[in-house]
Order: sequence, then structure tokens, then C-alpha cells
Amino acid sequence: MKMTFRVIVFGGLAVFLAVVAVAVFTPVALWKPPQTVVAHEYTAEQARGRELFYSNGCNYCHTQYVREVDNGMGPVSEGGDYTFDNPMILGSERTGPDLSYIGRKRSMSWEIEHLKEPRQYSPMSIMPSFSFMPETDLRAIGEYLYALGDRNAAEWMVLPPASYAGTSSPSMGESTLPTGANPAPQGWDTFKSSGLYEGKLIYVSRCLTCHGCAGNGLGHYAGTLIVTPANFKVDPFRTMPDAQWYWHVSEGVQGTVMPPWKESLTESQRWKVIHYVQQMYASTWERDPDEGDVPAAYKKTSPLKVTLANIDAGKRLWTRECLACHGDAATGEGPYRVGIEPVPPDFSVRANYADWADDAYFWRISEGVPWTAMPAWKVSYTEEERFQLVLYIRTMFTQTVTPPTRPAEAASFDFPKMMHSMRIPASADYNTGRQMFLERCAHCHGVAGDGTGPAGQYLGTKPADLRKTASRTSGDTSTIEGEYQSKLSFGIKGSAMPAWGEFLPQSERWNDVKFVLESFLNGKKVTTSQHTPGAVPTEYVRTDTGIFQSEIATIDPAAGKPLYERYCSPCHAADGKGHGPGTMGSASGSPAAFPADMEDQYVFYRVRAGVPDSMMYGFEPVLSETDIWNVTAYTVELTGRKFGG
Amino acid sequence: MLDWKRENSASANFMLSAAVWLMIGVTFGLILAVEFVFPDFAKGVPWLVFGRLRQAHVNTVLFAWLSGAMMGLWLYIVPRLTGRKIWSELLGNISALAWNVSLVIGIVGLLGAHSQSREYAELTFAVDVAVMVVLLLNLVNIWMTVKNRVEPKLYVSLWYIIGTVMWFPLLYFIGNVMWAPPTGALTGVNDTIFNWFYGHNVLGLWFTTGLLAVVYYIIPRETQTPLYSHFLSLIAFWGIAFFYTGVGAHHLLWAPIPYWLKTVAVAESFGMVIPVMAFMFNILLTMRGNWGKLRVSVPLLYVITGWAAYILVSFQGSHQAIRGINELTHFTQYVPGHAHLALLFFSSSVIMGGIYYIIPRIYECEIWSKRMARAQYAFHLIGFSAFFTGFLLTGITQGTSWVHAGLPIWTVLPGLRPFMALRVIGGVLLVTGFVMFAVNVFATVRVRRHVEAPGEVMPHLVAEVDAS
Repeated sequence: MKMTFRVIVFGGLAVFLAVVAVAVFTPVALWKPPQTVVAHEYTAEQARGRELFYSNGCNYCHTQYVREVDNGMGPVSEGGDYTFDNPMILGSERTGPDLSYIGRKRSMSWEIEHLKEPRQYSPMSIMPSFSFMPETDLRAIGEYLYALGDRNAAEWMVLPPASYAGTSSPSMGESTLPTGANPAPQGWDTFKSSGLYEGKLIYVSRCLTCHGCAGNGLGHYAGTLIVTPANFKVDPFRTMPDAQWYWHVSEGVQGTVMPPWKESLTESQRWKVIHYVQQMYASTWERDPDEGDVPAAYKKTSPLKVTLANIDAGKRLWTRECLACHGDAATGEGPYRVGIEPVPPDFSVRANYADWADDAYFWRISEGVPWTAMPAWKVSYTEEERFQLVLYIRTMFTQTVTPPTRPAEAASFDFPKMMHSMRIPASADYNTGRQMFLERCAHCHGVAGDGTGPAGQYLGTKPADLRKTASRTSGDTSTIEGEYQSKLSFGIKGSAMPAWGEFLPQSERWNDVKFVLESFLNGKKVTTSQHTPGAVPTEYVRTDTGIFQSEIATIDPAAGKPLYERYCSPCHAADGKGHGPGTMGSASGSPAAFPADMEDQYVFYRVRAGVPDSMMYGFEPVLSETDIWNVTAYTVELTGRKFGG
Repeated sequence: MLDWKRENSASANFMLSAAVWLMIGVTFGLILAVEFVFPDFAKGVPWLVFGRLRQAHVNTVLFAWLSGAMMGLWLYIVPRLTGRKIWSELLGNISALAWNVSLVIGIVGLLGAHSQSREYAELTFAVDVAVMVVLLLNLVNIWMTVKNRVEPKLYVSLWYIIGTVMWFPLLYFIGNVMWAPPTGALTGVNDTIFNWFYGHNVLGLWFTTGLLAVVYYIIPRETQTPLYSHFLSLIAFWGIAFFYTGVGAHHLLWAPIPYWLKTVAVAESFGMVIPVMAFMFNILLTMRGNWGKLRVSVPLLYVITGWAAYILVSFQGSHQAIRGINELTHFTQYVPGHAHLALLFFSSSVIMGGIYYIIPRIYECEIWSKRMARAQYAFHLIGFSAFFTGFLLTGITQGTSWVHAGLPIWTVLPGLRPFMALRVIGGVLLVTGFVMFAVNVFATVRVRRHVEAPGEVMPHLVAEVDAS
């Protein structure tokens, strides 16, 4: 081949243009991906932020597209995601995280502060600091980032792919689901025909260990997972569309251990369990289930003997599964009960259960209660175990079976040898233990630890008076720490004291042991008032009572009176001078009398946050802000001053 | 004092200004490498922030150093092969001046966050226009020289140079979407197809074709051996023109563009094995019996190194374009490692060899210090080995951690730090080598060491033969 100038120029041009036509112009002419929901026009500020983003070269470390192989980054990017982008900044290196769906993952202020000092917010980051940029520019970049990705990200997490988009719930069988406008009968018939019963069985067998029987994502397995399981009682689940539910249940959730259930559940089974979760947890309303009578198959009498061993086994089951909603004293005030409709029953109203025999309990425990979140425990527990639970409820709560004689003090709890020499670990924290005592223990043992908590008073065996700890000789402390850990972990036989080992991690139990022993054995005496005039933390100084008062909430000392009587007077006494009934014989002694010159804000601050390293609780977890103001008002007026004056 | 029409002055001006740019470009690179290990190294200095400096580094080495020097090499080689002085020395000098001025503006602009931020096409629209003008002036100058040539036969080097000066302006215009100022981009995902068609062919149809011409010129000259095969040259030339043009989409194998286009790009990428093999064997067989000359000739040492690096980077690139491998390497530091093998070890080596060959001939003198040039080679080779290993280890760790272990990006970063530090160590050696190179070149021009064996140095002037 003779290479002349013409051959080189025209030949070279022909080859070049032919390939360009095929590999550049043809695809560009043919490829018109439709706009997706991810794409959006930029506001002037977002566009300015985008320009700052790319002209400062952020796209040289942060990509903006997700591949099939990428793990936990969101849905694979589509061409239509970029409809409004010019120039394209897909990126070619991923030195930092992909930003396709970063919008709404972080707050605006986080984005801005992180741009200034990356390693303050992300210690392993190697991102440069952009502290040299003016605040307005950083804000513009923040505006851009905040809008990146699915615009509904906050509510929807991520969108289902095309194959799931638009899937909707199939018909629910013969009956339609009852709603506020359509109050269909709420008995077993409609519960079964609508598929909810089957949904419940699937939920109990597949979902409950992580999502919990209260549907709040705090099932037993949850604590071991890096990603907390979904809490169905909050958004996005309360308003999540059917297609989204169906996608997540079918394919699992990227970046979590949620399994792809399409592998083992049929399409109709998946929809049934989705309906169950939606009805019971995500969008509930008040129902009045009509249960009917115990069916023939469950008309049984307990085959178990009334023994301590059976009752104790039942207690363990109660602590593990029932306490979350029903509460440790079975008054229906369990820690996870919020949002459950209808509310769990109150077993302390014994009149309601006078004519219940074994079968009434056994049936409900086994099959659940229609149109409620009560699980069908036949799925996970044997008949014997369910009868042990029946026995525990009947001897301790409804008290329709006479319990056996209580064991002797030393035999009332398990005290394994290895626990004899256990000591409170250095990591245990008194103040954390105190707050836990207020939430988990005080309703039976009382805030003063004197055993007078209102929930425990109906029980056959009254809650222990923890002040008696003080009578123990200090020489016993070599074993008393392990002894209290054992009592807490395994419960007290013949009483309703739960086996907390089934419910609380050991570290939390140690916090509690530390609180109980230090408060009642050694004592945390506060005999002089902690108050100095003007000593209110900055965040409380400007606390304005006005923001808590509105048309529906007014601060009223009279409304604070019953609260004061329940939570304060056991120690501070009805007149605020200390020496309340709960302080009698307590190692912590009596609190100081209220000084007359306490500011309103100071009282509010102490009631809400407590006094560190003393028995004074922070009531923030159990009282609303308005209630705390009410108590504050009552307390202030006890000192003889006018509240707000 | 300035003589704009002195013979070979345009060539020398391009090359000497490029040597200055080289110092700037590699210093930028070294700072970037340090920033990977110590992210707060230049904290608070806006123009040293990674994102801006990276763009400035890429454009400095790509256009100011490599492209400037390459055009300088051509302006010397084309007259030798055509038997004619360059068509217009004045035009050549105006080109050199315009090139440097527009890049000063462009690169300072990038450091001040004025960027189109499309990879390799970052320069702003006004600078794009100036670059286009220089490219076209350069085309006129070279084509007119070829048109008026005395030697009737066109040697392989001239095929490549004639083709390159034609392809690149087209490529630059299309790839920079120059009909759509000021962003120089299309709206929507198709912009990436233009971006990477351009991005890859800056290497494929500019540095590769432009520098193979230099390899084809210098190796036969320095070894005094005719090129082994005209046929292999033909395969390589047309093969590169056909296969290289269509590889761009292999940068987008996981992006939302048409699947068939990705397949075309993979096929074209692997097809590159054909012209690369042809070129490899052509040079290998020309070198038969001449390997001993590497001990004598400094230019040959660098050009052969560049040739070997070209073979390596081409095979690496073809394999990297296969989907299964790309899945692991994409987004990782393996890819900039590949780019540095191409632009630092292949392109820069060939250009340094070319400058060591041409500068003494233009100024009728010896290289200032051959010993220093050889010492520099040790820094170049050892430095690059450490540097490249750093990139590879970083990239492989990233790819396997992300894809095989499913780890999030940030968790992998601390484990990459030693490899990134290795890159800094290699980078220090490399920069030292480049400083030695620049010192040697400027000392050669300033000292003009007397030629002791005139036979070794070729006549620098082209004998003007009346073509009519």
C-alpha cells in the first residue's frame, strides 16, 4: 500500500468519522432516557452550589452514579436521573462516598460544618478542608447536596425498581378491611377471611425476632445488628406505599440483614404479612375486637402442677415476650406499648378475670386476639410452655390460682457460684442506673425504693423495700454485688419480680445494681441544698414558661399537686421540708428542705434533669414538659413564693 | 535579540517552555500525592485544595508539558523527513507563544476554580478557542511543509504526524462540545459519551499517534538501522485509527448509557491488541543486534523505555476494558495508575528521549552531562516502580474491598494510607529525576558543550533543494 498524503488525509478522515458516527453520534441520537423522579430542575441557589461543587473539583473524588455491584448505595442509576445536568459530573474515581442519594441524609448544617472540618465529623475522612470558602458558598453547596437524589428520600428511603414500581395490594378476600368509615365486624371470621390471621402467623414466625412483637424494631435479635430493624410505628412506614412495602419484603433491604422473602414466601403470603404489619403497627386505629367463645380445640385444663418451677418458667417467658407491652406488673403499661391499638389489658382489675379458666388464657396466648397485635404464640412455644405462662399470670396477676408457699429468702432466687465474687464493673454508671430505675423499677418499688410504687400494690407479694439493704453489714459487700445482680437477672421466685436477664443487657443491669447499692447501702446523702441563687445552666436560663402555655396547655399548680404527691412527697414530704415517709430508714437519708429563693427555671431544671450523683431523678423520661412545669409551679408555691412572680 | 525566524527556533521554544511547565506540573502532582496521606497539608490555601489542584496538574502535564514538547519534536522531525525547512518558522513561534499564554490563563483559571470540570476537558471556553487556533495553525504549518517536501516518499513518522494534526482538532472540537458555550457540555447523560470519547482519545489519537512518530524516527536514527517492516507499520497505523477512535465508552461500562455502545467499546479496546502487537514487533525486530547501543545513547535509553511502557499500558488497558476486570478496577486508584503509566512512563519517557536527541542537534553541542542523564534514569525507573506499585495496591485493595467484601468507601481509607505513602516516596524520586532533566536541558542550551566526535551528531540544518 502506497501511503501518499491524500491516502493518509482522506483515509484517516474516513476511518475516524466512520467510527465517531457509530460510537458517538449514533448513541447520542438514539439514547433519550425518560426523566426519572430523581431528576429535578435546580433552583438558582442549587445551580450555584452545583457550579461551586464541580469547579472546585469535588467530582474528582465523589462519583454520582450507582452500579449493580455497589453495596448499600441505593438504586442503580438510570439515564433519566441526569435530565437537567450540564455539564455531567458522573465522576471516575471514588475516593470518597458516592453522592447520588446524599440528599436529606445529613442536615444542612452538618454538610456545611463537614465541608469546613471534615475530620471533626468523619474521623477517617481524607477530604480536604474547605474552610477557606465563604459561608454563603458553603451554604450553596449544601443546598445542592441536600437536593441530590430522590426528592422524597426522607419519607421513602429509596424507590422500588421498575419491576416493583406501581405494584398494589391485591384484594383482601371476602371482606374489605375495616376502616373508620367502614366498621366491618371485628371478629375471628373477618380476621381470617381477610388473610390477617395468616399474616400474623407469618409475622410471628419470620419477623418477630427482629421487629419485635410491638413492631418497633426492638425484637430480641435487634441488639446484635448493626442496622436497627425498622420501627413500623413511625414514618416512613406509617405512610409508605404498597409498592414500597412489597419491594422491601420481596427483595430485602440493601445494607441491612432484611432477607429477600421472595425466596421462601409466595406472593400472596408476602401481601398478607404486609397487610398485617400495616394494620397492626403502621396505621392503627381503635378497635373493639369481638372474640367470641373459646373454641372446642382449646377447651383444656392446665395439665401442670402448681409448682415454683413452673411459675418461674412462665415468668421467664413473660419477661422475654409479654413484658414489652403488658408491663412487668401486667397493668398494660409495658415500655413498648405506645401506639398499640387496642391497648393491652390491665390484669390488675381482677374482677374482669374472675370467671376466666385456664382455657381462656391458653386460647388467647396460642392464637392471639383477632384485630390486635397479640401474637399467636403457638408458632414459637410448646403447649407446656404456654401453660406455664398461664400459670404465672393466674398466680401472680389475676390471682385466680393460689400460689405455693414462698420459698425462704435465700432460696428465692438463683445465685450461681460464679456470681458470688462478681463486682460492679468500672464502666457501670450511677446516673444511668438511676434513670433506668425510674423507668423500669419505680412504678413497683417506688421512687424512694420503699416498695410503695402504685403499680405493685395489688400483687400478692408486695414489692421489696429496698431500704432494708442498709441493714446488711458492710462486710457482706464481697458478695452483695453479685447477689443483687442475680436477683435482678433471675427474678425473685414466688413474686412478680421479673427475670430481667431475659430483657435487659447485663451492662444495664449493672448500672441498676450500682444505683440500688449506692443509694440504699452506702447512701447518697444530700443534706444541704444544692441551690445557689443564679446558678441555672445557660440552656435553662432563657426557658420561657410562655412556650409551654397555649390554648390546650396551661401551667397550673393544682395540676402539679397529684404529680408532686406521687413523685416528690415520698422524699421531700408534703410540705417540701424533706423527711418524707420514704426517707425513713433510708441510707440516703432525707433531702434538704427547699430554700425559699429558688428561681422557677432552677426548679424546672432540677425536676427535668435531676441532680447528678444523688437520688434526685431527672423526670424527663416519665413526665411531659407541661407536667414538669406543673410540678415546678406546685413546688415553687410550696416555698411560699408565687409561681411566675 | 529575539529572532522569530531562526531555523528550528519554534521547535526549541516549544520544548524549552515545556520543560519549565514540567517542573510546575510534577510539583502539583507531588502536592496531590502528599494530600492523600496528609489531607490537611495545604489546609486553608484555596488554590492548593485537592479538587482544583488535580485539574491544574492534569492540564499542566497533559497540554503544557507533553503536548507543547511533542509539537516541538514534530517541528524538528518534519523538516528532517521532508527535506524542507518548516513552512513558516514565524508561524511556529507565534503558535508556541499563543500556546503558552493561553495555558497560563487556563491553568491559573483552574486554580481559581474556573473550570468546566469535564475530565481532561476542564479548560474554559475562551481557552478552548485559543487552543483550537494553535492546533489549526500547527496543522497548516506541518501540512504545508509536507506539501512542499523534497523527499517524495512519506516515512511512517509523517503518516502519524499528518493524521494526528488533523484528528486532534476534530476531537477537541467535538469532545469539548465547543458549539455549546460556556459550559462546553450537553445537558443530560449523553454528555458523558462525548466527554469520554474525547478523554480517552487525548491519549489515543494525540499522544499515542504523535509519539509513535517520534519512536519511529529516533530508533532507526540512533541505531543506524532501517525500520524492520513497512507492512507492520501499515497494520499499526490503520489499526490505531480504527480501534482507538471507538474505545471511549469503556470508561462508562457501569453508567446508564446504551449497552451495545459499551460492547462496541470493549471490542474496540481489545482490538487494540492488534496494532500494538504490530508496533511492538516492528520495533523489537529493528532493535535486533542494537541493544548494546542503550549503553551509549541516552535518547535511545529513554525512547526504548517509553516503547516498553507503551506495550505494557496498552495490554493493561485492553484487559481493563473487559467487564469482569473493570468491575473491580473501576472507580479505584488502579485507573489513575494506568493513566500515569501512559502519560508519565510512556509519553514523558519518549519525549525526554526526543529532547535529549534534538536539543543538542539544534544548538550544535553535546548534552551537558550524559552521566547526569543516566543517573536521572535510575531515579525515573526506581521512582516510577514505587509510584506505580502504590497506585496498583491502592486500587486493588479498594476494588476487592468494595465489590468482594461489600465494604463502604470510608472504612477502606485507613488501610490505603501506606500505599498512598509509597506513592509519595516514588513521586519524590520521580520529581527529582525531572528536575535533573530540566537542569540538564537548560545547561545544555546555556553551556553548549563542544562536540568532540562530530560524526555522532547529525547536521542540524536541512539542505535546501529546489523543489521545482
